[in-house]
Amino acid sequence: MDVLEARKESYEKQIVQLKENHKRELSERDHNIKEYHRTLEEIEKKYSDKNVKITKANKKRVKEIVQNSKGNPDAVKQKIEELFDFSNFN
Amino acid sequence: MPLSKKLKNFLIFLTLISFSASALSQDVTKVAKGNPSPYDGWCLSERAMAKIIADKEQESARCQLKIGKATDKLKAKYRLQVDNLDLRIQSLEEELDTTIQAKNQEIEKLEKVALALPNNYWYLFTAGGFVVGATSVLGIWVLVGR
Repeated sequence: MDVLEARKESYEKQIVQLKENHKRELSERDHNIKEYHRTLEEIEKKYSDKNVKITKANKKRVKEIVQNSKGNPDAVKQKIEELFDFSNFN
Repeated sequence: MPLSKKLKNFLIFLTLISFSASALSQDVTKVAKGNPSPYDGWCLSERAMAKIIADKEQESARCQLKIGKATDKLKAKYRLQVDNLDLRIQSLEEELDTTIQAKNQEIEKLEKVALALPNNYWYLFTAGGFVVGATSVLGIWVLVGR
């Protein structure tokens, strides 16, 4: 009976410890997932801001090109040739 | 409705119409040979051409931005996976430690139980062996005697 009692006590202790470990692991896993979602939000915001900057720069550049093309159409023609390389198109 | 309000509504309507008209104005048109182009092609407004040039110039920056975003997202995803695996390892190590500890305590208790009840039954085993031996001898003697 003493042997059985000792074994029973040991198993009960193990079960309690395993439950505690499992609970802690789940809690930390939840924390990691929350952290991941927070990081994703930060990434979205960071790149959305950068995208806005690029779009603004794009609009500014469009205006600049329109202004330049009025006084100097050859410069625009040259720029198009440089960017698209139509000479190698055929 | 008072005249000032009607006038206000009319002005709002006019503003909206002018914006939509400018938005819908064509920046790209197909032109045919001799009409007035020397070949079939497309006629782009200055704004449209400028947009094409600006977009082409910013192509690399936009591409880098997309790559950066995708890389950062993947880094975050793999960071999560690594963190979860680290957590699993830590948890398993702790489980192992607690199990070993519990088993050691169990062994100690079983040792104590075993020591408290020593196996001091030599006389029973001796007597049992004597009885079994004697019975066997008698049995053989009876069988052989017949």
